[in-house]
Amino acid sequence: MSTRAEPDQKGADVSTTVPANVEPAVSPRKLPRVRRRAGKKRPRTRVAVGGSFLLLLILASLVAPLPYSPTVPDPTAVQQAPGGRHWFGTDQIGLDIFSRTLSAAHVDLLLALAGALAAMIVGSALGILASRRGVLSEGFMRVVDLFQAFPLLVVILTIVSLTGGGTLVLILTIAIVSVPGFIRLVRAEALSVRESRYIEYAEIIGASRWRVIMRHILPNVSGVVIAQLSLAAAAAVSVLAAMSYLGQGVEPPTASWGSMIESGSAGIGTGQWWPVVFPAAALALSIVALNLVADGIDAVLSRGVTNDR
Amino acid sequence: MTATSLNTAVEDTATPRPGTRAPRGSRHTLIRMIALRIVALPVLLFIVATLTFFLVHALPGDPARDIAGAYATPAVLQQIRQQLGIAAPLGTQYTTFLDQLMHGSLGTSYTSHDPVTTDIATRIMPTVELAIAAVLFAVVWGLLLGFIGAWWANRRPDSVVRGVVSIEQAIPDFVAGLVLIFLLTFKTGVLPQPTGQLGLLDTSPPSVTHAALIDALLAGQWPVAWQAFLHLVLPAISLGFVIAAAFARLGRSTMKSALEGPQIEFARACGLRRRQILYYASTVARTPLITLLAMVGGAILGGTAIVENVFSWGGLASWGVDSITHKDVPAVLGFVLVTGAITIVAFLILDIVVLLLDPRVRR
Repeated sequence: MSTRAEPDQKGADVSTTVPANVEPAVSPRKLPRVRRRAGKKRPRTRVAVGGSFLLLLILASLVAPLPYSPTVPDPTAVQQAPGGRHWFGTDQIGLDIFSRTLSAAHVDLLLALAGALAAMIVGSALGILASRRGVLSEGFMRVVDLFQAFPLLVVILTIVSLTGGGTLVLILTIAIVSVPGFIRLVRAEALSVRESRYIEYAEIIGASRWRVIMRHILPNVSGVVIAQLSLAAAAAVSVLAAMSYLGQGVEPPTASWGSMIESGSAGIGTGQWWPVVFPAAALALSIVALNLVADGIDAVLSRGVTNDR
Repeated sequence: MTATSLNTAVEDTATPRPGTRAPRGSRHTLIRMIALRIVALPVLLFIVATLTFFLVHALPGDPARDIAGAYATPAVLQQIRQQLGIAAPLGTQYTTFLDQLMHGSLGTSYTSHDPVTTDIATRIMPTVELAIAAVLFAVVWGLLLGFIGAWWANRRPDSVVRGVVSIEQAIPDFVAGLVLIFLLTFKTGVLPQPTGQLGLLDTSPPSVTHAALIDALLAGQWPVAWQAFLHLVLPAISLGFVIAAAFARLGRSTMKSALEGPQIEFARACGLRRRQILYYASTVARTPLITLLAMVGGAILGGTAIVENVFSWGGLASWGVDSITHKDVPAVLGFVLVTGAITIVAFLILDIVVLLLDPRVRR
């Protein structure tokens, strides 16, 4: 009924349908308030908290000494509940959950980040290229549409079984499934940047196409791209866990959160919660941290404008 | 994420492109637009079918060897290949595939030896039932959170909602499922064990759609329907959890900008009731939300696989994933075609609904 295209008519409509004696106007505290100062500092804190958590987790996973080996089971300590000897308990074959959860952090997070990074580079380039108006870029976007019409898991599993798995394949798979997000985002941003005056003037002065892209478009889209990188990495962590859960992700002896959750899921019906809950918590916390970083960057970028997506 | 493409589709009809003649009647262009999309539907499906066919055939591995085992003689392997119809060159196989497709057949599954159409028919409704329940939960719960966040933007309820949403967003559906199973069936016993659509001791209702809840309702067996409902709750919530976060985020931002819009300011100035203000704001906010709904509806059919696996649901998606790992070529083709078709139809319906809701076109 109402659209923003015709606010005047809309207003007229409203005033005629409303009797003059409706209850007193909405109390002032219900009105949208301007309160920017207070929330001003928080975005940066979000980035700092999320970022340092991830950094610490990865560093600890890489260099900290583990109490037990994450890949060699101890047959004398099977299915032990969390306690003094095994902080997070042990699983059915006697692997220490704490060591595995921590050592899986750098595997899962670095793979996800690498995949998202690759998607960012390729996706930004394609997105900027596709922001030029023309039949070619329209056609390209329809191909992206078509690609996204395939079920995500089918795409992933097909690629993995096509190539046989391995670290490089996992990174590539994550990159392929995250690329459409970057293409769409960068294209949308670049399209609006291309409309601005300074691009027009730069072209009039005779700036080359390359210079316009590198000096004017790229810096203006870089912010949203970095925020999207964090979001894509969060999605990638979850996708990687799902793949490992299905046995198509990180190869078995190496610890990964997804395969830990899978092997622990058998015991959940009989009360052994720790083999599932600890890797699941690590997974969830990492995703929260990545989302915090993305949110924070978004908020910093939009400055005074409240443009939260 | 994919909202942009749909939005541009809408803009294309609203503002005539330079160079084309201005449309005489909007309704005319609307009908032409819809007709064009319907005509394009089989073309798109054909492209999807072709792409999938060659992609699946590029998969390494020999289905004949999988069936016959490692010690089969070449003659036996050749015979199995003949039976499966994969002895012919790829081009011939492709034309046979298209020919079958035209006649409504998808071939015979390598693993179940049933027609793929039968395999799909027995599994699609359980997945659809689960998907609908999950989306229903996600929409109701997500919009509730989102609207609370928008109404009390930047205040206590908003930050609570923000926290809830970021937790929901961070827990993948299968993890949510496992944790919920532990808490609600093992710890407290509120809900039944994850044994699929019904308990092991329940008698299943006469199979019409193969979805337990729908079948029980059709047969009028209320106790069975109640059991089926109880078994549906956990998988639906685990699936809907992440989706609800998307609805909450989008609901909050669109509702918030709608509430800050000039017409709502005017409505407030007129002293409209809160209910009416919310109603007018939601008419502004609804289009992106419907877009998200269609995208979720289109994407969810392939995405239920792991949750179906966790709850031994026996649906289409987990079957499709199994087919990929077993290199069951006809089954994979059937799965991708059906889910692809549903996705494309969902987008088509979405575009029509958005066009019909847009007064600039409807006028």
